[in-house]
Amino acid sequence: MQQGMKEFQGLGVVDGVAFGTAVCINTRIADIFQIWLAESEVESEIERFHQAVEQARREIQRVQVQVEAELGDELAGIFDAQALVLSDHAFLDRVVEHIRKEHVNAEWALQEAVDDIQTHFEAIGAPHLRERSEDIRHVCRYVVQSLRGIQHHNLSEIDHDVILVADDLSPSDAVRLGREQVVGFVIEHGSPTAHTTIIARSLNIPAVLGVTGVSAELAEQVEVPIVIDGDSGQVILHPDAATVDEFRLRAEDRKQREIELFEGSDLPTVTLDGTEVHVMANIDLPEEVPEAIRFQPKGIGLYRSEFLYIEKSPELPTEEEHFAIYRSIVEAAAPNPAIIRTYDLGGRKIAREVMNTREQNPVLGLRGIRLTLARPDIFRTQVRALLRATAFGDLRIMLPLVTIVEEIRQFRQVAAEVMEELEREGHPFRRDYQLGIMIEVPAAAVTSDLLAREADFFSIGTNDLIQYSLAVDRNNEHVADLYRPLHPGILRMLRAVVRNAQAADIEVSMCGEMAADPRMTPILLGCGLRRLSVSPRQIPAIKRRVRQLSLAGLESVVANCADCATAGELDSYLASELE
Amino acid sequence: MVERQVTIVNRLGLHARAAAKLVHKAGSFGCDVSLIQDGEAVDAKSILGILQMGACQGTELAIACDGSDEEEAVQAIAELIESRFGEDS
Repeated sequence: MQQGMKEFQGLGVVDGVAFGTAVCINTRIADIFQIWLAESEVESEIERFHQAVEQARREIQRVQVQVEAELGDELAGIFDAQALVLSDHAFLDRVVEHIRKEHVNAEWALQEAVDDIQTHFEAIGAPHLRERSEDIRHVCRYVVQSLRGIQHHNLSEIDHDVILVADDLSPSDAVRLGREQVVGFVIEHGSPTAHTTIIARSLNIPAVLGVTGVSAELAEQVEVPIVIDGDSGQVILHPDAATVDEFRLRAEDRKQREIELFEGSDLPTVTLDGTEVHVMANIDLPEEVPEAIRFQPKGIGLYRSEFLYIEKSPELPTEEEHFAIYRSIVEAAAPNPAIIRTYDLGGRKIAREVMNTREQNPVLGLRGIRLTLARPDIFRTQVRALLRATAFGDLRIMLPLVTIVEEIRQFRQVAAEVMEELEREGHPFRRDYQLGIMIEVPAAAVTSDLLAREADFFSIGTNDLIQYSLAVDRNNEHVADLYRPLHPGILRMLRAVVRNAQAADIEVSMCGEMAADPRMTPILLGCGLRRLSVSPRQIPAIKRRVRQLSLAGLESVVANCADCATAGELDSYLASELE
Repeated sequence: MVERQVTIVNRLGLHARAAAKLVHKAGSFGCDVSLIQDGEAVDAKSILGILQMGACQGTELAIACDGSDEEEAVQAIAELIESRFGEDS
């Protein structure tokens, strides 16, 4: 019998179109009954519980190892936390106590313990922390499945593409099933920040959340064809031919767009009126470099060297470890430059350990260039490696959090000493290396004319500059709406920095998040910026935006923006000026 | 028994992965380790205890250690928290 088409609307969280057969899995712990135990049964019930916990823990650890190998340890950490729940004595003892005192079955005792915990979690304010109760529920479901001897869902006997429909899906189920024939997820509950969503995203499997009623609809049917769109959030059962065609077109479209993302990469990035703009790549990890280069950036505009310190902590990285990374980056960027920022750790760790100081307000404390200069013995290792790598390409050194001219001079002094050492040891290096600074403190922006006499280039770090200038922590929900990149105070500062750099004839770029927002591109070009450094996958969007713009008039647009007294005035002015 | 005040500085606070690191670290010492928030203590070797605190960025806590290796434990746990659990922000 031909069923009628039925459409559901949810929240698309992982982009992509998927076609398949709907398979419903029931992940809810089906009714748990309370069973009274005889005194003599209590100890064996406790033993049964411990065995089930052990089995569930092994299963989670198995997934953890798999995730670690395939998706990295960041995501594996989710499963580490889940496994820890099952070795948490405070928790297990509570379940055992319920069994022992109330003479009830393990399933019931477990549910009671979870209910207790749930109320604690509900009192937590921050949603991303409150949601962790989900992890506890998922873990307990594993234990109940083990208690009942239920096999984990297995799709291996199905030989066609499956779109999984579940009321709720644990991250471990997502990993396990995502590697079988599953091409899409429809989850009735779940949130965009849930661990399962993060897993789906890294497996690149389209997913729609918050769709109610799909499993109820599927209850009485088998082999139901389904299509989903993880962008629009549509879920359609029994799609008719026209709908299938439309979704196929969308899939084609998307594939085409992904190709196009790379396609324009070799085109020059020039405005309609012929000015070239350099779009560069921000890099955190050395592994990101190959993909970044495919987007054909005009070099690496910011390599954050903290990664190596974090990876090696509590040890300090060796000179050879620094050198190997810098050399590979500068060679990959050639013939374009690679700008490497000296380490910009919060510094608390080293500050505490080595300097034996305690800071009341670490954000305004010993960090960035300050920490560097306070410990030349540690920092020298990095400087030696950086200078040695200058022999292999256009490597430029950049200092974070500079506020005064003396900091540049002190660095040059250290570098001069290091160069003497390197020369004595016979290492090749470039004596005329380029030394730039981040402009990320308001005082540095305001005195950029003075700093421009001593630095070879500037890079504007907007994240800190905006936060410090507006005295707003954008992660603080109470003031987040005051975090405004287009505040006239910020625009005036940006224009001044660019003007001062131009007057001193040094290069100026921007590497903060503001540079990566295509809506900001006309404003930034209007401020006089011609170099923008953004995360690799943002490069195509920024290049495209540049190619659509004409510089003429943008300067006066910015001047007018910098005179808008209120956000409302600014919005309506921008709306009228830029389409 | 030693005690030390710390502030949670990483952006996400004591989320699942950070809590897991903390439990591993606390578990590597023989002494008792608790975290105290507003006078209420939780066992730092219990992940549920830590997750239930719901400690977000900016939360002030005391680390309290009691046992033969209490000095090392307090130092190591304070460092882990202050190094933002190795997270970027």
